Amino acid sequence: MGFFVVEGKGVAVLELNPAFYPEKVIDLAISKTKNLEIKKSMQGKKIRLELKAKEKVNLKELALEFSNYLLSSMKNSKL
Amino acid sequence: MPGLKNVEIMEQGKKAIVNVNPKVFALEVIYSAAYVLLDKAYFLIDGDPEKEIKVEIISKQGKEVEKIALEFNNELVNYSVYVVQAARNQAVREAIISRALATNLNTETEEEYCEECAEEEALEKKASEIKINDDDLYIKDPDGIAEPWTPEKAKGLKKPKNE
Repeated sequence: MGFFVVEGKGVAVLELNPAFYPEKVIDLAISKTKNLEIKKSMQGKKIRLELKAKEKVNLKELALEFSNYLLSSMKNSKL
Repeated sequence: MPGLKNVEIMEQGKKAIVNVNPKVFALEVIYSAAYVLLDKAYFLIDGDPEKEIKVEIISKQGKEVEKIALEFNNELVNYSVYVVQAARNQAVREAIISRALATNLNTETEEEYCEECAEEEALEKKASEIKINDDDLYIKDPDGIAEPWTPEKAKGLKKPKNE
């Protein structure tokens, strides 16, 4: 639905709906994340995040862990 | 109700999509329900916030995704109840807090007004108004038992001269 892995580039891509993931929360999460290169761009109405790890990791897990991190930071900041 | 199912299982039980009606469950309820299950699965939220919200659940370390999806449904109901109860009790909670704050303010004013101090002042004023004659201090002591250890400091034992 909102994520896939580009094995050749070693990049995990997350496409997030800004109606559920506010841009402020995403920016804050990016600023707090270390050991990870994150490129943010707009893909139509969605926010596209390209995640590249500095170390060798499971890219699928990396993207999903980041999305969980976004949800948890949203809970702490908004609710 | 066998037809009422909002869970779709995919990828041989590794992934599930839960369709949630935003008119039934508010977005904050969906966030809260997902939050409590973050340690069991990965969550991605998508869809239309006005019509239908799709929650993608991907199991962590081979855990049964259907079970987690059903648990997620339970958590939706759980948090909805919490939100409704919180809204109902809002007035009571506010009343309790305002009462607690008011009590705190009263304590401060009590500190400023000292009841004991006021009583002491009144007694001192009354005492200064009363004048005691030396005659009133005279104690009759026919057997001489009221003789003090220090007679020179004792008051009222000497018989007044005019008696």
